[in-house]
Parts: sequence; C-alpha cells; structure tokens
Amino acid sequence: MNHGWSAAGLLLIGSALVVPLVVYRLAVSEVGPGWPARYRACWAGGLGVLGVGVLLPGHGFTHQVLSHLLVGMVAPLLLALGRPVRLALRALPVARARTLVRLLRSLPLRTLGNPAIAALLNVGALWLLWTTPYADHPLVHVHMLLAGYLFTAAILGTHPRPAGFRFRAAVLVAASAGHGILAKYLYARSPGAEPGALLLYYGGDAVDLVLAVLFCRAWFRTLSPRRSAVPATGRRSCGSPPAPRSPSCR
Amino acid sequence: MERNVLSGALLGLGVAAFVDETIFHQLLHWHHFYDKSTTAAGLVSDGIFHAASWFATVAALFLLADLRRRRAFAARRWWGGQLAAAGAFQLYDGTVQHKLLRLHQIRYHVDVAPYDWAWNVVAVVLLAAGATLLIRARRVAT
Repeated sequence: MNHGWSAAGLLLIGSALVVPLVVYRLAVSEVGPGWPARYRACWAGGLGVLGVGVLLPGHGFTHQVLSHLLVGMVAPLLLALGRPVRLALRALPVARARTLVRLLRSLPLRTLGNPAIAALLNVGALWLLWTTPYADHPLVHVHMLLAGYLFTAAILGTHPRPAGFRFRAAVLVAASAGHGILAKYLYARSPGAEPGALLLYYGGDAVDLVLAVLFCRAWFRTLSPRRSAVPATGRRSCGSPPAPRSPSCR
Repeated sequence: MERNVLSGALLGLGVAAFVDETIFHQLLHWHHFYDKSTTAAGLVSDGIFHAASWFATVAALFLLADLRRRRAFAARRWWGGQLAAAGAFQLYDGTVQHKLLRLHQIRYHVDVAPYDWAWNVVAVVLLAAGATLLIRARRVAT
C-alpha cells in the first residue's frame, strides 16, 4: 500500500504516532514510579512498529502482507501489552475512571471486546480485503490496527473482565486457523501471490505462537499458589477505580 | 480428561504435527505446501489442525509445568496420552487428510502405497502403545 504520502498525510501519521506516546508518558507520570518499564517499552515499541508498517515503501501483494503483519498483528500485540486501559484507569481522576469503566461495560464496547467478534472483525476483514476487489485505502490500516488491537486485548485479557480461558483459547485457535486457511487459499488461487501467501502463513504463525505463549502464561499465573501481586500503583494510594477483578488480567 | 493425560495428549498432537512439518515438509521436501488436488475441506481441516497443534504444544508445556508445580505429574498417564494422541493424529493425517481430502501425498513421483502403509502402521503402533500405557496406568490406580 504505497500511497506516496503527501505532506498533510505525513503530518497526520506523525501526530497519530506522537500523540499517543506523549499521552501515555503523561499518564505514567501521573501514576508514579510503580508503572512497569516493560509496559512503557511495549507501548513505544508498538507505535514504532506501527509507523514502520504504515510508512513502509513498496507495493504489491507481498508488501501488503508485510504491512498487515506489522500494522494488524505485531503493533497491536505490543500496544495491548502496554496495558493502556489499565494505565488510564489508574491515571484518571476517580470520577472519570468510573465513567471509563461504565463506557467499557456499555453494550457496544462489550460487543467489540468479545473475543469471537473481535476475531471476526480481524480475520474476516482480511478475507474481504484479499478475496474481493475491495478498495485499497489508507483506512484499511486503521481497521487492521483497531481490529488487531481488540482481538489481541480480548485474547490476552488485558482489559477488565476478560472472557473465560477456554473460550479465548478456542477463539485463538479458530482465528489462527482462519488466517492460515486464507494464506493457503491465496497461495492456491492467485498465481504470482505465492511469496506473499507464504509470508502471510508463516508470519501469522509466528505472531500466533507468541500470543499462545502469553495466553498460556497468563493462565499458568492465575493457578499459581504464590501469584505475583499487581504492580504497585505508586503514589495514588486511595480512591483508585476498582482494579480489574480477574486475576488473568495481568 | 485427567490433567496428565490432557497435557500428554496435547503435546502428542503438537509433536506429531511438528515432526510432519519439519521433517517431511521442510527437510525432505516430500510433502507439498499445497498440491493441485487439495480439496476445500482439506484446506480447512489442515488449517484447523495446524493452528490447534501450535496452541496445543504451548498449552501442553504449561500444563506440564503446572503438574510439576503441584507434584501431580504421573509419567505413565502422561506418556500414554502423548503416544495415543500422536498416533491418532498421524492416523487421521494418513487416512482422512492424505487420502480422503487429498491434502497432499507423502511423496511424489514414486509408488506411494508403501509410504502410506508405513505411515499408517507407525500411527497404529503409536496409538496401541499409548492405549496400553493408559490402560496399565488405570489398572495400577485401581
């Protein structure tokens, strides 16, 4: 997807990357020194990968696949590991944090946060994108990023009240299968698309393997007799919004 | 399913798929990523088993770690589950996926029959060995 970015476009992309970085930093300074450095590193890394994926020069199917892997899978994974929702809940004043919790529990967001729906939005969009003459548009990046984030957060349970482990495991396997089947289907159907299809297949596998490890590790920790405590909240000692109940929300 | 058997079975599925992928696809290049006779059902079956085997391998190892942590590891049941699942998957691969769904063949440009027989006999032997271990484990337990 080489759009030959205009100056206005570059400015837009630049601010879309820098603003979240700055806001996150401000929120971390609000929360205090208890916020883990690895979360910050994940967030910054995710934005970096996102920038590379969007601005990557090139064209053709292989390029689209690489861009999808970065924007729709790797960047969302790192961003979700940055725990932005948990950070927001800690950093916001109590009243606003409560509003955010209510918003997260609202029907539309609960629906989008359902692992199966998020997986459908994620993998289903890929099928539409590559098996129909769908318009190749910059908004495709936005959809890939958002759907990828929703899916990753739903699977890893980084938002409050994650779904049960079995359901999430089934959705992860189904989504991963949908991704692999699409790759083989494209390999078979479109002559010339073989390198891109192989990249889609093995690249998707690699990211899904990381997801599987993180998911199982979260499960393993919930069973742990000496579970590590939630990272300290720092200076905000009272009045913080209800912390995510489920121990899997690590 | 009992946790030891489950952990073993998941790892068996993962190991069988891993051996298939590394030895026959990547090293020997006997199996093809896709061959022209593959059916749509073959693609779907392969996709599901491939994704499930990835996840199963990881989940099996974490389950094993949990069993060790709780000192509940039972070797006979665990190995029984692993061998039985590896055999069952290989038998499914060798009969349904290779023959019925024509996903791909074991080897090309040769008479494939001896390869098919070897493949499926090994599968049955693994399955039988696993089942024997599981039955013995049950006998010991009762």
